Amino acid sequence: MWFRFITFLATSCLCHMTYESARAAGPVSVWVALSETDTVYVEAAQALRAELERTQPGNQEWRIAHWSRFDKSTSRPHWIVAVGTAAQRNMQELFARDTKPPPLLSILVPRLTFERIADPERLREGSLSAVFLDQPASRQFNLIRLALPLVSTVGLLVGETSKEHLPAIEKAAKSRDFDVLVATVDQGELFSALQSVLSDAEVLLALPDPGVFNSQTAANILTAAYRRHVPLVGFSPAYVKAGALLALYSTPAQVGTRGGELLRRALTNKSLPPPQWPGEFTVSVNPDVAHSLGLSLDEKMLGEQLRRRERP
Amino acid sequence: MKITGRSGIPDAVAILFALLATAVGAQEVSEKDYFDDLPVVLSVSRLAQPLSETPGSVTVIDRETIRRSGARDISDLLRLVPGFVVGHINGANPTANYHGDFDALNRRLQVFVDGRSIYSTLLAGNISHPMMGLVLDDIERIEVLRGSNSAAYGANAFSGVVNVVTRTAADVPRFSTSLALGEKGIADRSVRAAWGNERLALRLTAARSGDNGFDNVIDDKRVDQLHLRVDLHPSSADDIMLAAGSVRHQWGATDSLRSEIWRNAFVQGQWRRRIDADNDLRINASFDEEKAVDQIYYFTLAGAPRPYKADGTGRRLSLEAEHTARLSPALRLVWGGQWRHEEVRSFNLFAVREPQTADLRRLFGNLEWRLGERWIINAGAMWEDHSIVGPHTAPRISLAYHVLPGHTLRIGSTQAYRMPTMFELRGNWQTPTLAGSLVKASGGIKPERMVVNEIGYIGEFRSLGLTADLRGFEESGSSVARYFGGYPNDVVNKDRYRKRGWETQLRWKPRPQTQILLNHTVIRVRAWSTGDTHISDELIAPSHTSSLDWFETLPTGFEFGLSYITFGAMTWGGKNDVLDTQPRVDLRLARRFKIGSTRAEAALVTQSVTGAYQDGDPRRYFPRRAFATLRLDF
Repeated sequence: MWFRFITFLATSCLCHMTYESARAAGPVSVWVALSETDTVYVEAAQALRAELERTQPGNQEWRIAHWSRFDKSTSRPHWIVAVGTAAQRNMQELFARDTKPPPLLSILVPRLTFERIADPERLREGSLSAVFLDQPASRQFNLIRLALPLVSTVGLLVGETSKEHLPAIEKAAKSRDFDVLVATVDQGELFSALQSVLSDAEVLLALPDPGVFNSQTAANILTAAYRRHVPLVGFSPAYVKAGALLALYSTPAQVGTRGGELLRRALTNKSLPPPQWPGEFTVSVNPDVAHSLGLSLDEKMLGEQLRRRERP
Repeated sequence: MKITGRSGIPDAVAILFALLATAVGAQEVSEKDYFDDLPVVLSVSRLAQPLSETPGSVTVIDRETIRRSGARDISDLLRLVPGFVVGHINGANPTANYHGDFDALNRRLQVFVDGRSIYSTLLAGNISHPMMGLVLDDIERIEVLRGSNSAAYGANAFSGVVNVVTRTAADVPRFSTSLALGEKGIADRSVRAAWGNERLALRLTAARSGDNGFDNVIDDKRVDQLHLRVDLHPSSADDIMLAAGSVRHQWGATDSLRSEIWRNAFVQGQWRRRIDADNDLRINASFDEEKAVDQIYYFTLAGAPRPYKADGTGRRLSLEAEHTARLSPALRLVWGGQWRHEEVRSFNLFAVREPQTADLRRLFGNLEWRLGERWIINAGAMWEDHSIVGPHTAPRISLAYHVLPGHTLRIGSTQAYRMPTMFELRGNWQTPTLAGSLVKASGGIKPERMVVNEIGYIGEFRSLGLTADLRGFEESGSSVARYFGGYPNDVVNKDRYRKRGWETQLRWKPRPQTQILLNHTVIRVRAWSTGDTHISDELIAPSHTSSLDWFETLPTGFEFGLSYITFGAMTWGGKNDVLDTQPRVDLRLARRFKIGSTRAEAALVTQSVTGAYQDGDPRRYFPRRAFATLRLDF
C-alpha cells in the first residue's frame, strides 16, 4: 500500500516536472534515472532538480523515471543523472557502445561501488562523475574527536568489501593522532573479530559492508559494544535508532542538492567536475544511549562544529 | 579468523553461518545498506541509568582497573571503594564491609554475581566465603552501590550492594592462562577456554589459588573453582544466560589444630526478553548448595588432643521476575517479585537433625520520574514477607538535581531492614569444650533496622578528565542483633548506633596514560550499648581512611601501579582489641607484549612494601609479600 502510494506520488511529481519544463525555451534535456521508485531516490532526484530550478529556472527539460523507462532510440538527453547504483550501471550500459555518450552524473552511490562499476575510460575523459553517499574518513574522525575528545583508539570491523577503505581511513586517523584497531571479519566469523576489537577499542566506527553490518549482526554488535561501554558510530539513522551513540550520514536530499550544484557547474563549464563527497551532512545522536553512557551530546551543535571545522 | 569449533553440531552451524555470510559478503555495498531499517536493539528499558542519576552513590571498578590493581581477590578490589573497610579475619579469610561491622560475620552487605545473590545460607548469611569464589579475570566490572538499598535489593542490602558482572565468552580471548607465584606460598593458576558464535557462546574457567597466609598463624588457604557460563541469543529480542559453578575454600594446614572447608555449587538461568522498545522482562532462577566442615582438635585435661567435627549443609532456591517499563519519556518503572526458599541442616548449629526452612516472598517497585531537564525523583519500596519473621516494607526516596550539565546534587532517605538469618532465629550451637550450648536462639529476634539520610554530589569536569563523587551520610541503626545473656547466649535485638560522616572519590585521567583514584572517608560512630558493654563499637570503622591509586602506562608496553592506603585506629570483628594506624603500599610493574599472535602480560607485584602491618587482630600481621604473574591470551 505504502509502496503504491510512493510510486503514485513519484509518478505524479514526474509528470508535473516534465510538463513544466517542456514550456521553457531552448531547454537542456536531463534524464534522471532512478534505481528504484522508493522515497529515498525520489527525494534525491527532487532535491537535485530543485537546486537547479532555484538558480536556473526553466532552463532544463526534466525526465525523471525508473532507469528501465529510458530508451535512447526515441530521444537523446544532453545530461544524465543516475540516482543509485542500479541506475548508474544501467545508464552506463545503455550508452556503452556510443562513441560520445552523454555525460553521466551518478549520485547516491557508495564510493567503493562507484569505483568498481565506473567505466575508467569515461572517468578519465570527464564524462562520468559522482556525488557519493558515504562520508570521507576525515569527517568521521573529526566527529569522533568532537564528540568523544578523550578517545584515542578507534576500532573497526572490516570485511571483504570494506577493507578497501582501510588505506584512506588509516591515513585520516594518523593525521589526527588516532590509533586504529582493525579486526577482520573473515568468512562471517564476527564473533572473534568483535572479541579482539572490543578488548582495546574505545569507540567502534561502523563501515557499510553487508558481510559485517547487516540487520542480522547489528543486534550482536550493538549489544557487545554496549556491554563493554564502547560506543558505536554508525553510518545511517537506522543505527542511531537501533542503539548507536551517534551516526554521520547525508540524507538523500543533501546528496541530491550537492548533485544539483555539480550539474549546474557542469552546465556552465560544459564538463563534469571530478567525483566528490556530499558537502552537507547530518549528525544524529541517540539521546538515551548518550545519557546512559554519561555523555551529554547535542547533535545540532556537533553538526555545526563539524561544518565549521571543514569550512572555517 | 578461522572456525575453530570442535564439536559436530556447532561446527555445522558455524559453517552454515560462514557460507551465508560469504554469500552476503560477495555483494557490494549499495545504498540499501544506508537506508535499510534496523530493529531497536538498545531499548531505553535495557539501558543502564547513568551514574549521575542513580538513586544512591555508585562506584564502578572496571576491567582495566581490576587488571591493573594487582588484586588477587575481590576484597583487595573493594579497597578502591570509598567507605569500605577491608581486612582479614585471618590470612585465609579476607573480608570487606561498608562503614564497619559489629561482628566477624559479614552479612550486612549484599553481593550479586550476574544477578544471583551469593551469601552463605548455612553460615549465618556470611558473604566472605562466597566472595572467594570469583575468578577476577572473569569479571567485566564491579558496581558498588554505597549505602542501604533494601528498597531495591531486599534485606541483605542493608549496608550496601556489590554487583559483580562477569564477562561473556564473547568478551574474552579464546584461550587464556595465568600463573602467579611468589613469597609466602603464593601460587595461583587459572585456565579459561571460550568458544562461540553469534548465537551461542560458552566460557569455562578453572582456577586454583592459595598461599600460606600470615606469619606465625596457621591459616594456609586454598581455593579451587570451576565456572561455566553459557550465553544464548536465540533472537534479537532474547538473551539467555546459563551459569554453573563450584567453589571449594579450604584453610588451615593438615598438622594444624583446625581446618575448615567450605564448598558451594550452583546453577543459574536468566532470560531477558525485549518485549518492545519500552518494555523489558528479566526472569532469573538459581539454586545454590553448600557444605561446610569445621574440624578442630581440642585438648582435654587427660592429654592427647581429640578431634571434633562440626558440619552442615545449606540449600537455596530463588526465582525472580523483573519488568522494566518506560511509561512515558519522563517515567520509568522497574517492578517485580521474588520467591526464595532456604533450607539449612546442621546438628552442630541447630541441635536437631531435621532441616530448618524458611520462605521469603518479595514485591518491589522503583519509579524514576524526570521533572523537566533538571530534576529526577527516584521513589521505590520493597515489601518482604519472611515465613518466620513476618512482613516488612523498606521505602526509599531520592531527589537529584542537575545544577549544571555534568554537575548533580542528590538528597535521599531510606529505611532498611536486615532479616535475621536461620542461625539467629533457630540456632543452638554446640561446642565440644562446653557442656551445652554456646548460643541458643529463642527465636524472638526482629529484623535489624536502619534509617539512612544522605546527600551527594557528582561532578564531571570533562576538560580536566576529572570526576568527583561526594557522599555525606547519617546512618541510624537500632536493634542490632547480639549474642547476649551469658551461656548459652540468646540472640536478641539490642543497642542503637549512629554513623555520621562523608566520603569522596576523585577519579582523574589527566591524559590517556594516567589514571589516579583518590579516596577519602571520614566517619564517626556513636553506639549506645546496654548491659554488656561493647567498647569496640565506636571503632568498628576507622575514623578516617585515605587512599591513592596511581596507574601509569609507560612507553614500550610497561605499566606502573602504586596503591597507598592509610586508616585510623579500629577494631575488627566485634573484638575489643584496637589496631594501630598503619599505612600499606602496594607496587606493581608490568609489561604487556606479544609472542606471535599471543598476547602476554608479565607483572611483578609487591604488597605492603613498607613491611608487615596489623590486620584483623593485634597479634596478626599482613606480611610484605611479592609475587610475579604471567598471563597469556591466545
